Amino acid sequence: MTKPKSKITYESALKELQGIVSVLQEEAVSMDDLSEKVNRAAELLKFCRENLRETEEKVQGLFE
Amino acid sequence: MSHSLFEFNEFIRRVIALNLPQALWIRSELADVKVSKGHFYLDLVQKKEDSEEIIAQAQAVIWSKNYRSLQRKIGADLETLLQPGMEILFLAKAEFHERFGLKLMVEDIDPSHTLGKLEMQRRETIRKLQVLNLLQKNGQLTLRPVLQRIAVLSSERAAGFQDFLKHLTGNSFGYRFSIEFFQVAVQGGSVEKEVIAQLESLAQRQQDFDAVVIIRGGGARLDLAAFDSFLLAKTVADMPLPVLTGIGHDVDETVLDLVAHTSLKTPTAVADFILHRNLNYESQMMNLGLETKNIALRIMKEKESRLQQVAQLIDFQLKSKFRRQAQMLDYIEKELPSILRNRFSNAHAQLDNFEKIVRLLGPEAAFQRGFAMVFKRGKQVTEVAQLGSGDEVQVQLKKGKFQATVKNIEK
Repeated sequence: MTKPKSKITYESALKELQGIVSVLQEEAVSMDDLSEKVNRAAELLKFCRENLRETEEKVQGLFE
Repeated sequence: MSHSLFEFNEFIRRVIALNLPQALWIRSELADVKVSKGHFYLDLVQKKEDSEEIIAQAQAVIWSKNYRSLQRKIGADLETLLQPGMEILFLAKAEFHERFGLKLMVEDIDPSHTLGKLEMQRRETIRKLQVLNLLQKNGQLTLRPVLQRIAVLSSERAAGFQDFLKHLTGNSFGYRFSIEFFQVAVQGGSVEKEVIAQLESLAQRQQDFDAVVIIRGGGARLDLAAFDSFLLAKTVADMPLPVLTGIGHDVDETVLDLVAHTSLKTPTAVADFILHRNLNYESQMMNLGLETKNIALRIMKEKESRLQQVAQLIDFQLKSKFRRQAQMLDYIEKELPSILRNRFSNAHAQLDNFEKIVRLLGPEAAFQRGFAMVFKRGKQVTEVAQLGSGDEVQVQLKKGKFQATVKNIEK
């Protein structure tokens, strides 16, 4: 969870995000780790959104 | 009694003049012809049939005056008639001259006899060629689809040759030709010999040419007799190159035409034939080129539309992939707060519960129900055993406490 942001791929970020969501749903996270997990989830979500948007912009119009 | 030679010859002249007063029709082969000052001197000869043995011989003269009138009557054929080797039928009067001896004075010539004779010879020649399978031999050679290197046998002075050259080299299609000229006589007695000699030398240079062309301009029928020669026809038939003829006549075909690969009426027609053949080839090539282009265009179009389909497919897949990803992120983003809310509300509820339990189990609830708490020197007393008679204790009840002294302990 301390991986540098630049090395994260979309797929690994998404996988981590889904992992966090599922442990949160199962209430498997202690209250002490909660804020750290939620912050990480917000960070990953932002990364995924940006990555997705950039990729979409890059391939936009290539096949029209 | 003796006579002088002159007297004797004069006597013969008289005998002949008296006994042969009329001109007679005589047929004979010409062995030689000489011209001097417009007069024609003919050596007449008759050979034994199928043999070279001479059985009769005489001399004849056509005076220039007679020649001119014959020319008016017979036309250009006359010159051909008077070639060595020809058999002619002529009207002549025998005249004996004391000094020059016997001479036949030609007054008239019947060209139809020679023509008939020639026609018979011609048929015989054709028959012989047929027997030898020579009529189609040259025609079976493959004529290239494009004719460019052409050997022309003709006479430089012949009008037909100039027509041919002009027509071929001045063509409007821009075709270029490599034409090599071979001088031959196209009329007269040396036609056969010269044409055969040139053809034989050409046969040695087969690789240099696409075709051989034999041409001459128009001429009288008899002029063409040389082109009916068996030897010439055989040489043409045996040529390793295709031979095209344009011998300038409309009516009959010469034997040469029959054995040639392709025979045309005139030199110009030969030029046209060559040009058309090349044009035909070029248009075939152009059609092939066009067809190739069309096929290529069609293939490219097909491939292009296939690519477009693939591109559309990729585009569609991309869009749906992005949509799915965005939906997933949307879902997570929407779900997170509610998960957190649940988590917090659960934590709060748990704490509330603890509070309630604490409150239920606490002293206030006991006081409420009438229980009291006893303290000795500030410490809570929970058993009687901790007390002794006379001990000072504090008793706490609801809303206050009091001091008491312990008496009468019961256990």
